[in-house]
Amino acid sequence: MLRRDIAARTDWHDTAQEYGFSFHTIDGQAYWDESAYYQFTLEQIEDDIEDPTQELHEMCLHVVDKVVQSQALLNDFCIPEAFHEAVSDSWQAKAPSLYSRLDLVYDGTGPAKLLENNADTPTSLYESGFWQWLWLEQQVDSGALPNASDQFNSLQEKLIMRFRDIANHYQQKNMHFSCCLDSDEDRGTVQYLQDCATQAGLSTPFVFIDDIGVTDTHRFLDLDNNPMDMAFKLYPWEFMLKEEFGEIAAYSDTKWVEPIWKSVLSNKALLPLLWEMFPNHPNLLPSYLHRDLDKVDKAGKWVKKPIFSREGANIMIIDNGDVIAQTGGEYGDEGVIFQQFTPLPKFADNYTLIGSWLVNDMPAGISVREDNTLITQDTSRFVPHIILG
Amino acid sequence: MTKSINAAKSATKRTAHISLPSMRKWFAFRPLAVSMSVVFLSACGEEPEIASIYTSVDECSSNNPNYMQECKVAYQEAKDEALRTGPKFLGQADCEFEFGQDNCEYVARTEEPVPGNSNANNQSSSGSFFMPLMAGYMMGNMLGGNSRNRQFSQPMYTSNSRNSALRGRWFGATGKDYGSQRNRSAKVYSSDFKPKPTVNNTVKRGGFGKSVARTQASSRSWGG
Repeated sequence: MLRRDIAARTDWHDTAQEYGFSFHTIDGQAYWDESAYYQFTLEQIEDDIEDPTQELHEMCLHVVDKVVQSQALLNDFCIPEAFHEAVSDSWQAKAPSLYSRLDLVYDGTGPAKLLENNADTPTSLYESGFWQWLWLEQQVDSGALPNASDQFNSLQEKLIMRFRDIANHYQQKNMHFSCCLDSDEDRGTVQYLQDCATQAGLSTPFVFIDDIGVTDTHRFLDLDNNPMDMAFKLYPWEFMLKEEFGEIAAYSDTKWVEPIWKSVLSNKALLPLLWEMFPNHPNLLPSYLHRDLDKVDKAGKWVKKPIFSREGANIMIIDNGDVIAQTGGEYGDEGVIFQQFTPLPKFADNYTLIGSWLVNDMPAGISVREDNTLITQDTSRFVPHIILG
Repeated sequence: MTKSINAAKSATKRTAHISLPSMRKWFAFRPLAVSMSVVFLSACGEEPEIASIYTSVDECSSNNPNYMQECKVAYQEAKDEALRTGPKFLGQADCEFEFGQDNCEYVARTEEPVPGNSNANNQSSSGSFFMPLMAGYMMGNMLGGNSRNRQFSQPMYTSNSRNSALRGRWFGATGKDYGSQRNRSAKVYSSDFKPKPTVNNTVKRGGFGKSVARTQASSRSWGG
């Protein structure tokens, strides 16, 4: 695993406009950074990332299977009681899932360590599945990269296949797509998923999450009053559960993608449960629920994370009882977990995090993100990668 | 397990082919703009046709003795359309305020129970409502391009309420005015027979999205 400098494509801004990649620069900060790339060997990709991703995912599903059968565990996961039955039903019914991203600490050697599982609303999908793919094609075509360069990235073809499967499963040809107002990044991610679903033969109407309507017969409607029989939402269940339509959504006939059981898979309380069920697994970090605080070695270095948190918000790094780094944010009303601290590897002046994608149950590629601090936040930059050697 | 994983690995690790034209956004907008102006042109240049309004199948059949079957089909289509797209009210008084006394009917609609779905919420019969009586139906002919032999119909309403601006007029489900109730024909364009949105009696919006205002600090994604 190497970080190499490379000249950016001279026309990439035009190309970005041509393909509708509108969020390469966000709030004046570069987000897409092609002044460098990461180079992996095929062995590193397959043995250290792909296989562990598959295994970690299967372990996570074992945890979900245990949690949905226990009211007490669902409470530990901060899932309100009104939703326990819906979560359990959707799991028992094997409601199909679309995608997830495991965040891994990996420096090129040794076992990758799981930081968390973004299984409900992962973003950076377009950049991973399409935009870095196009970067590689063009850099190989121009001779800037060797012909033999490959990339761990079968996201787009797997997403298209998966949309076809989900449509067949529910016998529907129409899938609504939704996200909230005011985020180019979310809208771009959803547009990408619409493009993939369209290529799978689906019609893909869009409605903002704030505009969704519900009838008194508990049917969800878009702004044209067309029924939403099957809907993808880039909006986390943990928000929906607290909102007015949440309970209606959980028990409605609308087929949600992701399904509600993903509120367990994407929950950070999953990490302590993983450690409990698979202790000392090489790809896991010791993790504990707040109620097991006595098991946390106070002399060590730990990360305190809220059960519901995204983009690195409300994270605290504690060393020997002292707080050495923390981020602000609005999360954390719902309980916290403690995870043993493991530093992100440093390449040049960057802390590097691997996002390992799954489409349903299949490993489907990686994204590499860099940040200037130990905690990867929404200020991070996306850097492309290649496989060579 | 490791073996099966290795067996599934393909020669390259990336998507074999992406259809770039279908991913292009910039150019994709242009044909859309062009086709929209075409729509405008044809709408501006389109000659209206004359559609008939009938209050019953008998009336239609006696005017068109050779098209009895079409009259029946058009009537039934209009009835179905009325149920789907017509105005709906939770209370009789609200309906009569708009449409006048004795001009509204009660519709008890029970949702079909979904087999295997144990959730009681989905089996309620709370879909009941009041809707105005269909006063007639409009039949258009020869509209809609290729469907030369197809009749097009839509429900017609009228109001006898003093509160309604459409009192004594023929109008469609969206409230479009087709002239005095004394007339039995109206000028129509093909757009008059375009599919109309389904109307449900009560649609509540804004029940999702509140958590974001609390958590969102910038235009960045709050996703993961």
